[in-house]
Amino acid sequence: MAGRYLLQILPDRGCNMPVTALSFPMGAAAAGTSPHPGVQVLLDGEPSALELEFLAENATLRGGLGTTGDGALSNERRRLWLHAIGTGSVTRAADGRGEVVTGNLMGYLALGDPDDDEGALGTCNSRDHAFTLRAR
Amino acid sequence: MTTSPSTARRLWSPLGVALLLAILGSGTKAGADRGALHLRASEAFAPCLRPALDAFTRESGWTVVLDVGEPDPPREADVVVGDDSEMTRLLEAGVADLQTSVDLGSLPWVWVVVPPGSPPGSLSALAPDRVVVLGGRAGRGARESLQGLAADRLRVSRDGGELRRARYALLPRSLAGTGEHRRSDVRPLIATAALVAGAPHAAAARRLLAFLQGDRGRSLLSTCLDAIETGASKGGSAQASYARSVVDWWLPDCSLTHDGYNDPGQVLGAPDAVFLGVKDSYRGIMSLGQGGYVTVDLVDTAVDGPGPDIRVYQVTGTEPVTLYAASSPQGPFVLVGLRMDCGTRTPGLENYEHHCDFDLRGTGISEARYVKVEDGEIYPCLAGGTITEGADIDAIEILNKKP
Repeated sequence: MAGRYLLQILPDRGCNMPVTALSFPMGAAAAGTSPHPGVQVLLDGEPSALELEFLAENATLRGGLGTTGDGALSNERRRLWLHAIGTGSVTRAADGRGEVVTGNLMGYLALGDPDDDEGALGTCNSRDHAFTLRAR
Repeated sequence: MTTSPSTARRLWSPLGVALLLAILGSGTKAGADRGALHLRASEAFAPCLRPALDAFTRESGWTVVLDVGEPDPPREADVVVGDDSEMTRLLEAGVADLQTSVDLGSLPWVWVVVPPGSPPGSLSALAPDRVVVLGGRAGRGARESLQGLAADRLRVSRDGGELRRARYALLPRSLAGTGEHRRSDVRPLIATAALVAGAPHAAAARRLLAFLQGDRGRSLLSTCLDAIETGASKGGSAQASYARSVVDWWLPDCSLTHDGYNDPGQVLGAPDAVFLGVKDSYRGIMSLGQGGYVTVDLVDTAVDGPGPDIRVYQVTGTEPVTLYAASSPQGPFVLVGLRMDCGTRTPGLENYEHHCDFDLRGTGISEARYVKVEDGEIYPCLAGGTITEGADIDAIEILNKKP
């Protein structure tokens, strides 16, 4: 997986969050081969604000999705705080690159408006969040 | 790290500015000549510290300025006091001196219900009022406990006045206003104090830390802070059984590049982590970076027995850990615990040696020989300022061993 992607984070419906999905423009690149091959996926323009570090093997991505204490601002103008493990099968996009169209996300997420404190719009720890990482 | 508008607002919140308190004792000696000692403490602990700081001022002659707000960053403070969740990065980065860190006590969370006698228990009993809960890192666990509550029923605040006036609130006991207080099962906050590296008044700051640890200080703090519960002494017995070999591991390439403790073999055997007294200098740990993992063969088999079955030893702070277990090295690995705070103090070991316990009960498996320990902090590698990013694993122990 390499190039430009759109990350979508979908909170578990049981969390009763005020949004169904948050999206972020990302860039992906291969990252290391030992002890397992990896892929690093970073937020456009503010790479350390939202960082995905995946182990990429057997057509599967698995790894950590994390933000700093400042969270990351989504395309929908909501701020997301995230500390979660994502797992998803890699399928081939129309342009031949790999992408994840159905991924599971386990862990912590919190939402707020752009200037809010962490979790002002809710906090949820779940095994059943979801994510997608689609080529763009 | 850049400062977002929300962070800037938090740093200069009315509470933070209004509560920049100078605690002046009647017996101050030449305080103006040598300046004042600055202590920065998070909102929850500030009320607990005031009587002890006042007494220190009277007895030592040192003026202590109490600056209220998240201890990270410490700004001009000589001493910082915060919860594990606020102190971990400070201590690991060497901004605060781990060797001087001391636990002062724990602070439970309470439900505040006004008027007293309102129906107890569920959140529905609290309708239609909004539930007020503490903001910031220290409030994260409390906010997690409220998950599922609609956003319009929730109010996150760090304004001490607003918190004390709340009709329904989930707060550290020290911030609770009038009304009925009901004990919550949210993990209590742990007050940890430490000297800031390069503190301008280091000698006086050490004296203050000694005072807070001494009989007089502890007595004054005990009116607000409880004794810290340490883990059961179940672990570490003569018959203890620890992980014996590494089956698999992975760290992101970024973590491999930036972290200094990448050897998975360090998680094997009994707890043996040593802080070498210099910033970021340890022996005997593996840092898991951003979402990294290590899978080990216990050789012995852990079984679902009384209480927890597996213990993970983790160094400094309360960085969360996720644990999976299997009977075969190829798996399938079953989730045993997701992002469990790994900050329980371990009796008999150094104060930076912490642990978290896991129970096989309810996981669908009754025994396990292989366990996978995964970082649960999941902090962006590129933003990390230490060489110990992620959970720092020292050892993995079977608590209930198959005979």
